[in-house]
Amino acid sequence: MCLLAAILAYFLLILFISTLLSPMPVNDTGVVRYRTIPWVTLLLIMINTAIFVLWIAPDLYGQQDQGIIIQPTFETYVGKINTYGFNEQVLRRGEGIAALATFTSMFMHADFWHLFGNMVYLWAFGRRVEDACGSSRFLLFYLLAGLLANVGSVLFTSKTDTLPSIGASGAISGVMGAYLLLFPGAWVNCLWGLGTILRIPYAAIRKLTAGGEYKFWRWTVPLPAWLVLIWFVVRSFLPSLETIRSDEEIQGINHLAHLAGLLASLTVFFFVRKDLLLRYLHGRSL
Amino acid sequence: MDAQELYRQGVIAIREQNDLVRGRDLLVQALKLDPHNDMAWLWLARTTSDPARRLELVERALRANPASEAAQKWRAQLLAEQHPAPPPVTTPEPAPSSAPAPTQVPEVPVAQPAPSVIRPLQRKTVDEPVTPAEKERIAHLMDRAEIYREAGEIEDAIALWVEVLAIRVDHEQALRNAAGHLWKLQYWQDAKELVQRAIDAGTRVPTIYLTAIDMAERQNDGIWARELRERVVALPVADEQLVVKVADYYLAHYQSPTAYDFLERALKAHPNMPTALIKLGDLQQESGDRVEASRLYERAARTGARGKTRKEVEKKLRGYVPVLTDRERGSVWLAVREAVGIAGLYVLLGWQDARLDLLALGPRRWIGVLISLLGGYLLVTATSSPQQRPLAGWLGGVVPPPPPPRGPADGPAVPVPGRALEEPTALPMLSPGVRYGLGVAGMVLLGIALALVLFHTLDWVSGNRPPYLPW
Repeated sequence: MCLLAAILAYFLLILFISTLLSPMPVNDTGVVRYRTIPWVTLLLIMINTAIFVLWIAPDLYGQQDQGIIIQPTFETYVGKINTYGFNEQVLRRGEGIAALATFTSMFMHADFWHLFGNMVYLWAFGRRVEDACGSSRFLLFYLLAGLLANVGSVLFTSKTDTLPSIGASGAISGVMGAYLLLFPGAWVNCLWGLGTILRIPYAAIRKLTAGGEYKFWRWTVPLPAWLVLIWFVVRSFLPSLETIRSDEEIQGINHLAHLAGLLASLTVFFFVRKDLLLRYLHGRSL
Repeated sequence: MDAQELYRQGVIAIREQNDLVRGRDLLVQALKLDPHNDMAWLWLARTTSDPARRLELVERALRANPASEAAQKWRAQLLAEQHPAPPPVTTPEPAPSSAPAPTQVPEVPVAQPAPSVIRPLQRKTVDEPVTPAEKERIAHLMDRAEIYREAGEIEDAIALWVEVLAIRVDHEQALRNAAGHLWKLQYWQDAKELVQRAIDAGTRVPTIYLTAIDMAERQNDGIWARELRERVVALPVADEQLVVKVADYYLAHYQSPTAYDFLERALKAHPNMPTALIKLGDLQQESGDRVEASRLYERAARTGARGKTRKEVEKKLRGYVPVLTDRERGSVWLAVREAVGIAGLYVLLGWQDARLDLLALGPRRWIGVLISLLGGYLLVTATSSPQQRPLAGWLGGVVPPPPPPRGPADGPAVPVPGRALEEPTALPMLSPGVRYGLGVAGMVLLGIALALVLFHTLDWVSGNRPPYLPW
């Protein structure tokens, strides 16, 4: 029980620190026009989580209680990433699982926080994009965006290191870009410590000037989706430039895949519903 | 001119020129100078068609000259008309004249319909442009009328407004003022006449129709009100503002069914009126039919409305499921678009299988991509686009029957989650058997295409078991 409480406290502390300055979108506030249940989004979250929990986490965290990582287990973990991650050099040589790695890498995550961040973003933005596309077409779009993100990250740089890329973030960047394209005026609820704190004096001023009921405390802060995504692009773009310049990944994150995924979002127009596409082309809100 | 001369000119205007307005003006001026001229009051009474007003003027004549036999007789007749005796049981006599003439003014024909205070319509209609000189004249007349009105000389002001209307039959302000004051003074027929003239001339000024409908409703003249609504609907150029205002009028008077009927007919004649569509959608929503409301809002949005109307309709639509029309269902390009997206996925796979060298894709992978395009198209046709034109017709598709009409017991229709509302279709749809066949063929082709574009990867994987798998 104490262990669980400690883990929970640790989780909340890290979450608080990581969202103190940088907003983390947790849910969109828009109307789901076709009233779909986001089966594919939920399925993708479940598959990613299951792969991590059942296949990666035991090797990564299996011996954590002893305070050290046992070497053979960690080797297995690294071996899995090397085999099933997206590695340009391996791909060019036609080794490993070759082109299938582009799929497998999309469902692998390096650690819990990597998985958690990606899945929260997928939920926040995927739900409505899936509604706009329909489940099966959304799945195709997700896979295409992931493929394009991987390929794009290779094309943008002449990087020659052999470090593999894993994670759904390329595909999720595509989903985020699609969200911005389809719903440019949308707002998303974000976990954002600074925003929550700044909200208190703002609420007090509003209460004094405008009167009426105004909530002082809310766990989430609604922000325009474009603002969140611009923040995301800025955070990806600057390290991407550095990656291109130095031919090395910055902070171990494949920022180029994020940018390529954002560009891949344009392909969403192949997959959105027919009626929605025509509405969009006529400049109407979706 | 002195009072007597004014009186004489007024009588001439009425008797010889049949210009009741000018006659009335002159008589009013004469009576201002000499209110004791009982004959002037009687002649003035001839210029109104309203019995109450006429009685009032005759009584003024009697006050000026209590001995006036003409005034006494006329007063008696007017009173008798207002309180008629019960009809005789025997064969009825021919009805007495409705406008008895005082003996002193036999020149005025008494058997004809009650005279109007307003002049006959002049040459101007709404389609004829007003010349600058006429504009100047209108401005001058309106200014003078305003002075009269402020001075409390309403009848003079009315005369000037009527003069304006002779130049521009649907001058909104002049008509509103003239008709409004005539109505207040109980010259109901004259007020109606002014409004009717503007409508007959084809005016498109909404307030004139609204005024007319208001008049008709106040007088319980259902026939005229209905005629006016028909006219609004039948206007050659759709005036949406007018249609909506008329509908709003009914809604404000708790006549939702009339408003509904009116809007439906207006939209039948002029289908592209977004605000009217929104209004009708609101009525449907209030009645609980969200499906129909959604269709109407969607139609409103498709009219290409801009600005505030567009924002309004978009706001309303956000709460509704979108509508799928035949235009989208019948489009081949929209179906091909999805197939191209699928083929794009195959190109990327082939590209990676060819070790990230697009030039090394080779004919096998390109054939795989083409097959994926075909397979994708068949799959899309089978699933989301079974009504493409003309493919569905070629493959023996038939137009699906419209859904059975919903009875009151069925309750309001509810859209299916995950699907757009489907409008009644006139396009043939592939039969389930054909769709099933196309779907299976599409899946098989996509499988073959996958094997072709990933042939190197599949070869390698089949010969080398990858490590670290859980099984």
